[in-house]
Amino acid sequence: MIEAKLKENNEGVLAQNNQMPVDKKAKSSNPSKVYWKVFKTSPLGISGLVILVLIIFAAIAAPILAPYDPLTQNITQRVQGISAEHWLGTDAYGRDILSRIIFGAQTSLTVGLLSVLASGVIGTAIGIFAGYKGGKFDEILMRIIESIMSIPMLLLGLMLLVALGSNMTTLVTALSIGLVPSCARIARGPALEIKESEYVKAAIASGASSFRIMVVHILPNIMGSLLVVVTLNMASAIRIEASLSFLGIGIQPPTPTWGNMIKDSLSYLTTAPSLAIFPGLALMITVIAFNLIGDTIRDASDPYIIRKRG
Amino acid sequence: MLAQTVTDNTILEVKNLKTYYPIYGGFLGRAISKVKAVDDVTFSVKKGETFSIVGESGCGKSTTGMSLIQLVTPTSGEILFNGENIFGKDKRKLKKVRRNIQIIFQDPFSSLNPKMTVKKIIAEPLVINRIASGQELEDRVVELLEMVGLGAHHLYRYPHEFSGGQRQRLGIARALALNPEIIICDEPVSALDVSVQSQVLNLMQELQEKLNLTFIFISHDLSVVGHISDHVAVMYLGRIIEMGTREEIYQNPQHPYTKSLMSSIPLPDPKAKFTKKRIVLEGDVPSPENPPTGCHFHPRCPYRTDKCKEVYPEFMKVTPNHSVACHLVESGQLA
Repeated sequence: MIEAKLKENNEGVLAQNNQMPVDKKAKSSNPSKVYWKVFKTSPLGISGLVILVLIIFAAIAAPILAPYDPLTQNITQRVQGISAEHWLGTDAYGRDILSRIIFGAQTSLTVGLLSVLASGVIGTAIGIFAGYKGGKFDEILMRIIESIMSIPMLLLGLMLLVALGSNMTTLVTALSIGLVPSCARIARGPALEIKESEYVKAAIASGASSFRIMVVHILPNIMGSLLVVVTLNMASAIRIEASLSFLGIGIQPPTPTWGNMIKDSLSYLTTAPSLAIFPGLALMITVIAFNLIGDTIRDASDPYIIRKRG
Repeated sequence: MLAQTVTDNTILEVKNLKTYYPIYGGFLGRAISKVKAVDDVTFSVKKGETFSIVGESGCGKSTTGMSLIQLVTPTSGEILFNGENIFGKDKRKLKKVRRNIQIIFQDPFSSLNPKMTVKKIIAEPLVINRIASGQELEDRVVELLEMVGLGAHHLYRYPHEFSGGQRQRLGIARALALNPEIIICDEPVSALDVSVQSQVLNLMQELQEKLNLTFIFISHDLSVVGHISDHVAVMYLGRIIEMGTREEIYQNPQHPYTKSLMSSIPLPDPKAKFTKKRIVLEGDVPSPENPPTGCHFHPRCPYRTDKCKEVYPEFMKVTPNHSVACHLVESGQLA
């Protein structure tokens, strides 16, 4: 049966090869472009992205944007409501709330970014290594990861900050440790799967080192899911940083953070609620923006949703 | 360079290759048992020929292929490449050997990294072995693409933009990148439809002639094997039960299992199906974890004797180019 087919095809193959369809559009469809496509069609994703860009811009341009110095006290103008001079009012020491919120974005984003980066790099490395090497490495590393997971992040932050003193480094360290498990677990699963794939076997057959396989083959294939986790981690890092500052053991006054601004406003909650509402809103919007972006990236990596949206 | 003991043009000699997979279980996950995926396999391959290994799913043919380049670590045995034992070499030496033995996989979808461009995929072996870089690398990749019937305009595409047949061509191009002497083809066409199968097979034969390649062709498709092979080995439950030239195996099968396999090949002539005798075996393939005593095939063999249940048959030559492991053939009971 096949013999006949082969004879018939023998000339056909060569003829067909010459007529290989030439690519008309010079650009090829990069898989990562799918993300942008999904973002474009998702109003929530776009709004998340726009909000985030605005917040980042505000944080970077804080010295230019902020109408007042965030630390200058003005006792004559304390606890004022919304006015033309102070758009969002002033706090208990007469400091401009808008300026403090803008500078607070710097702190929140810096703490979030540093801890997410550190935990992302370390967690991913641990996850890929555990998944790829398997066996005892996997067992030991994953048990350590699970024991970290069993401690609530807020408690972990409390313990470290109390033990090592409240400063930026300790805060970032505590948050990083707390976020490592999520990245490690997300990286490990696909690593286990990809190491059995035939393209990894082909790479081994050509002499690829374990390091090369982990970096060149496994890492790019888990970037999508990592991006989701990292974005959502950013939201929780900012939230926990605010909680710790609210508890008074995070970033110390007078440096403005959204958390310690809410804390300072506690005694004025009934008389001047705007003191708590505006930093609270800033915190909420930022966390929501990161969650929206994270959800959209997750959708983009789900082929079913992509198909549904056309 | 290495040819001390090679008398004829034998390129690969496999002696008593065994690959056992441990089964973990019980308390503390210790190895409680093992699957004898490849059990005492011996064969030799001549330069420039196509040596096929056929058998049902789970008979150990793919494991044999993987063991040859040590993608699966064999338990024991010798693998002589150009007369030099390559089993148990340290990593650096193994890397050198692997340049000469490459592999093509069955599934054209999982054998290409979806996040890499065609250029990166095919260049990978060259980059790993530091053979070429820059413009030289790109030229070589284009040359390889053209060899398999693709072209320079495919360089920056991703695997998902290709059809199954084209992907398999990419797999072949990658395997050719290092100028290997042997290519292990692990069911290279079984995932493709028939018309594409023949195109890919023709391409492979063309390349074999042009580059003097040796193929170790692993397949369950007897029509494909009958078309492409010079020598054929039939495996059953981890062992080779019959081996010989293609003509011998296809025209004059000796082992009852081989006979039944040959009778299952579909014929293109619709009238032939009335005259053809189809030998249908009873039962299923037993678990390789706990193979039957004696001849592994005896529970399904229509001609079994008491001896078959107790003693594993020796491999014996029927003709100089044809060996079989069966008591009945040995004693002449099967004509």
